[in-house]
Amino acid sequence: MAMSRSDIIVKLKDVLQMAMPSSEIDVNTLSEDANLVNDLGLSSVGVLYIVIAIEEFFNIRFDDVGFADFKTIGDVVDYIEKKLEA
Amino acid sequence: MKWVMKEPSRGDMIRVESGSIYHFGIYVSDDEVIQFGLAPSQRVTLCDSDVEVLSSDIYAFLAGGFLEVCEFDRRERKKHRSPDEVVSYARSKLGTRGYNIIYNNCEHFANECISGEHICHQADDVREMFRNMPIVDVYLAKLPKGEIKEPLSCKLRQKELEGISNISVKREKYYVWKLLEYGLERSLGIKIKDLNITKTDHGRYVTDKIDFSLSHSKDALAVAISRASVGVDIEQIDSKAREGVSKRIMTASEYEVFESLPSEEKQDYFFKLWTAKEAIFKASKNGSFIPELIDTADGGYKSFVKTIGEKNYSLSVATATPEKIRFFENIEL
Repeated sequence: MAMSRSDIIVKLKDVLQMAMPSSEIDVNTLSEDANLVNDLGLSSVGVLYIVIAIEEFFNIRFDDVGFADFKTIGDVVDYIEKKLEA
Repeated sequence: MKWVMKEPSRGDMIRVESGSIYHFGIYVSDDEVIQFGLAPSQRVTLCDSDVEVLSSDIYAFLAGGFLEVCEFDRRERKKHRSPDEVVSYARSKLGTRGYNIIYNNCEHFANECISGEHICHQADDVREMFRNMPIVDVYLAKLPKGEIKEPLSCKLRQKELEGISNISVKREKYYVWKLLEYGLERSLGIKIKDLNITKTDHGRYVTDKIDFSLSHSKDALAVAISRASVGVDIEQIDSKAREGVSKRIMTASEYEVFESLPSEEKQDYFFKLWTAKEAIFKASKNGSFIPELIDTADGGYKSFVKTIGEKNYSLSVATATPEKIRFFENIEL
């Protein structure tokens, strides 16, 4: 049972919630267009935590791309989708 | 190795706190600190591909923070480059790109200059933290009505399912495993076919990596997934009189409490104890279930009442970390 795009989004939100527990943002309200820097307010530390959390819980590696190349949540979902298919 | 606040010498690995991570560099002189990009907070660009190995003065490196110098012990130093070699290696890398916050960052670069080892303790620590995060995820679903579609990914279980002739039993067992497949992927990114699932002498399914527990009752399916031992049990709270059975399955003090309750609370208490005992037993992986010997006063579980398909169910989860339980409900299978 391959993960559908909506499954990935749901899970990505679980992981974001876990990786930034002190954040005041309710990740469930975020859309795919949400901007990682402006809407999530991610600092470089936040990025480090989130990337590693995504790696660990999706079982993938961001080894061929910089996280800063992503602008929105949707971009991250695209990448995860591609990696899970590989 | 340890970090100390002192005057740096030529060829030292130095760091400065930047937000809640550290920025690393190789000290040559006060006018020359070689580093993979400025501290993240100082960067003008957010694009990783623009980040390169550069030289700045110590003030730009520190950006107002406190300098720390890495001190290695004698054994570590034996394996390292000499200060001159460190400096010439670092200088030879000026202008190099390919920054990646996880796989190729300022700490990797500094370590590479010192010892040739491409390591980043910060990323390793964060990864370790997530790997050790106690996960106790509980998935709940309503038993779907439809026909069984594709076979289960777990071949061992699929083979057993094929031997079950009772259609409704087969459906329950099939869908609870489907829920497990869903949960493993959502909680840990694990595909069931990648797990080595075996069956114990007691008929329990176990894996080499994680623990899981399955339960179903009427229209409800429950799956618990954890990195430590876990047990789950769900039972529909029905109206059957439980007086007779209660004495047999409870410890003396549990029964005393049961007796003292007003009759309308007895039913919930009975189901709570029953599911708790069963969950504790499942988590223990022991051979035989003797409910009256399992004392719920010992803790190590948490009980809930959940509504699934308009019916109330008693649900207990046995885990060493009940405060970490996360629920994922109304999963569509």
